[in-house]
Amino acid sequence: MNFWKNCEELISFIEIELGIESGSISERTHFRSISVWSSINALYLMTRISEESGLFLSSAELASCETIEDIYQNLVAKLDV
Amino acid sequence: MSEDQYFGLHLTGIHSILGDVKIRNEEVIGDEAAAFENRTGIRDRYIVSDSVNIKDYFQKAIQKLMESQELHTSEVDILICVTQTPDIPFPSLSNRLAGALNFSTSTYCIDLNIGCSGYPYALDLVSKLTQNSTVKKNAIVCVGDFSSRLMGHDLSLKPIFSDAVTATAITYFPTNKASVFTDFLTIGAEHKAIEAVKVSDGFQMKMNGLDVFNASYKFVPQSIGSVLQKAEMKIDDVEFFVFHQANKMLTEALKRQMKLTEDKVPYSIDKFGNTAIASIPLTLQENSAKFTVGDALVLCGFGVGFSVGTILIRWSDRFKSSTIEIG
Repeated sequence: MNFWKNCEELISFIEIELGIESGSISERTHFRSISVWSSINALYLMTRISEESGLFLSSAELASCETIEDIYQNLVAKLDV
Repeated sequence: MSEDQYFGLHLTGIHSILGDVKIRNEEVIGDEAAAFENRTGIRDRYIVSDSVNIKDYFQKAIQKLMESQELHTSEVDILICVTQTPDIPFPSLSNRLAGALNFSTSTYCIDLNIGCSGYPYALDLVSKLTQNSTVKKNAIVCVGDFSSRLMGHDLSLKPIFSDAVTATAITYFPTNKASVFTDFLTIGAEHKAIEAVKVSDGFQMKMNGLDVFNASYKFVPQSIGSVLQKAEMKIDDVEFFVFHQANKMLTEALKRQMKLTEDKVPYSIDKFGNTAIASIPLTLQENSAKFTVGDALVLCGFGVGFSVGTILIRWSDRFKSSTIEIG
């Protein structure tokens, strides 16, 4: 399993997985405002994050997130458990 | 012999009926349909029109199956119906169908209320009922849901689900080559991953896709691993892994996690969508030409509950009929 050293690395991963332009999102991006965001792409992205990291966010945890930084911090918190 | 090992389970035929209305997802989600197909693998779906009654689909599937199997009503020893969308709460479908089809009063009839893990559960029950009986030889397992009637206006669910009913004929004929192994998991703490919620005019499905993925990703490989351990087999010893056709993203993730090669994981979701409990038998039918007598097939259903059911069967030399029709 791999974990991203910082939020920038997670952002690069998200850009690749969603097929969006490099540099088009930042840690403060509200991910639901990403142009290709949809329920199915959200599910796809989270499955890829789980596969890559071995960490799982629940639907309730994702619902509480607003920005990509929020997702990253939720994942980091699971690393500490 | 393991307590989860049985002998003599031969699948001899399957008859399926798809919903009578073919749906293209462009009609439901417009321009997003292509991207949706890329992620989910779903191209075509079939739903039932308002006038269709699920009991009629069950009855027709069973009748057609019996015709193709040349099975007389007096020869059906076991009838198991599995659905979560019956037309009425009681009497059970199997009881009403036993009457409608004039089955013997000694036919063992039961309904099971299980979701997408239901097919392995039903085959397991047949194994248990036939194993030590001198009179229970022929079983029919009829499974199906009309999921489209639980969608409401939810556009995150509508493009996924399909309606289908499928009847499977099973004959008990003891041979060591037909040994069966099973494993079942119930993760009750995750029951809210998929649930029916009350709405003004009945019930509607609520699915938390991420929670479904999480539970599937954690527990499906565990259940399959358990079956292989009981069978003293390795992944390489299994010719095919037939997963419930939830969506392509999930199946591909499971495939990567378990390091399964492309040729071991057959699909049917592209042609039929997520047909809930009917998806495993439909996938068997759609890919039956690839199977050779004696092949080891791991069938794994997972979903509502949250529950996982896994059964390892051998493809039978007695499999002789397979039909998929549109209702």
